[in-house]
Amino acid sequence: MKTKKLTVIALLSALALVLSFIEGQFIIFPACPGIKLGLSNIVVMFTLLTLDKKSAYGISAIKALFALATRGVMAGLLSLSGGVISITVILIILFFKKDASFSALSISGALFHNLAQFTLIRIVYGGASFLPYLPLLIASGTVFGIMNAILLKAVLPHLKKIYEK
Amino acid sequence: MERKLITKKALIFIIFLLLTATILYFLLPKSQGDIAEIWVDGKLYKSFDLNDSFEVTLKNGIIIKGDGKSAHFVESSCRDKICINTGSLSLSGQWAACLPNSTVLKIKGEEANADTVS
Repeated sequence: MKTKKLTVIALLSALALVLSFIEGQFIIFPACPGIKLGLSNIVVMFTLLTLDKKSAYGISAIKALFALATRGVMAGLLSLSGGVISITVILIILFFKKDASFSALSISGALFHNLAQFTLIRIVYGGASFLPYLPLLIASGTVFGIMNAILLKAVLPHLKKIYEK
Repeated sequence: MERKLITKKALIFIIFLLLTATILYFLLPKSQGDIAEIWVDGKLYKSFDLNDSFEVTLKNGIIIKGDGKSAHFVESSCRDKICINTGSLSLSGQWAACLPNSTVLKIKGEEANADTVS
């Protein structure tokens, strides 16, 4: 069982890395290049909902290590902060409302992911304000959050098969 | 327990968020900036009058240009070129960052804005 879980986590991590690489290739809003689809977070949320929180934090940490290795310290820190905070927020919501909808979880995760990263940039780079970008951050977090919720609900039963047998 | 894709409450939450984003978009001041600041490693390296033309080459190879109305990254050694893709900045509060080179270009207004509070 233990080997199996390890293999599943490795598979999911690989999936998350590939997705985060792919989405890194698109620039959605040239005026605010930090904005991404957040596809790899579908994998993290899947892990959180079907495995456990330890594995979800683990995959998030692996994503951050990958960003650190390929794009430097700041990219690694940004990835880690966004990942850890969004998972924590989702856990808090689940604690109070066990049957929270996919959309609610996904949107909250996306919003806090954005806020965490912009706050970190603000701290590290001497007070660059995120206020002008706040409308775009909220809107993109909401729209992509819904999109990822739809995708997650669609792939969840299929992805689950990788460790059910 | 079957988790739902969306609930009534979630839908209200979504509408609230999108409304907030829209209202914020129109509420936020969009004033032309006056100063272009270049920050390296979290410290102010140089600032320029946004109404002047300038071109500056930093030690890390980054070139930043101002054309009298706006400023933008021209060249950078980083891989992603996010800083260059951000394009021209002219409004107070806008910024572009090259994270690998720890360089930020910020536009500020003459009057004290939300930036200077903290």
